[in-house]
Amino acid sequence: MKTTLKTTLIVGLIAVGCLTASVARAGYHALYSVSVSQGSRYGSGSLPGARYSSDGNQYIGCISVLGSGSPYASCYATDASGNSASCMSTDPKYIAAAGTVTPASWIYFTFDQNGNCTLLEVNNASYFIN
Amino acid sequence: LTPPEPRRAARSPLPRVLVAAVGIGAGAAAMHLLDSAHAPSPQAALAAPPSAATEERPVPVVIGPVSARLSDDDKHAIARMVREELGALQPAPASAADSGAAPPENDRSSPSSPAVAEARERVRVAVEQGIARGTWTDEDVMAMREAMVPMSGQDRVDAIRPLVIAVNEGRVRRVGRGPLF
Repeated sequence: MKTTLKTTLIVGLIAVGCLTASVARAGYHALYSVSVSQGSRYGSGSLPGARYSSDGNQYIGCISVLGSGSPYASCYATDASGNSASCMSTDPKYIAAAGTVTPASWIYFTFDQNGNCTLLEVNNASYFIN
Repeated sequence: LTPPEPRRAARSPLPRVLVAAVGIGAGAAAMHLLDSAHAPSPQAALAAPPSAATEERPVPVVIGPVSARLSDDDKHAIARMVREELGALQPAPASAADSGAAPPENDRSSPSSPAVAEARERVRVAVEQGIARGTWTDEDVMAMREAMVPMSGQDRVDAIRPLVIAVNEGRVRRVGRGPLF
């Protein structure tokens, strides 16, 4: 009898947990994996998309380094195949944009033949959150 | 990260230049004051000619804070002297052909300390080795960060550029995770 009651309790708790989880994850959701093109000179992808990808290679991010007289920014990405791309800039606009990346960001950056960032898009949206 | 130390190297040569500049400025100001003290006002000159006693009396000169302005030529000359003095302290930078990098977009002849010059050299060597190996590891990244401490953001970007180009062209594979530097 005791065992039956305990089992019922556990099953009930699990059911409540599942229900709560499904409610919390309602809403449009999309994972964008990391895409890198060295020929077209761009890198893109969402942080959750990279983090929860099935392979062990993907990542994407930006760093924004601030200090007296030495600010710079760099964005970088590696796709599932291990192809990497990176760009860098000392332009305050890029430094500021790189600093807006959050765990729910989708990043798209392009670069020129010298590795300078030529475009940086940081998209923070609910549907990127995993 | 410590701020760049562009003026540290200038300690020995710069004071001489500054002293020279201040001396030129003070001299010009003194001459100006002397001329002003000697020259009578237009009204006084018309009213009465200077007497012999007035001419022989020493004219007191007061040198205080002045806002002496250097001409553009003087500024350029001083800037050139500073560059020459500081240039003599720096090792010759690696040529673009040596590093495989495109030439910098603008010629930066900014002064730098020996520590910065040494850091640049360390980064240059490490980048060359990474490109030769075809890999860039987390250990390389950590070494870069340590070496780059005295460097400004622009210095860092310029120094690491050959590596970024190599990674973007697929010649170097990032082994590990995260930014290149």
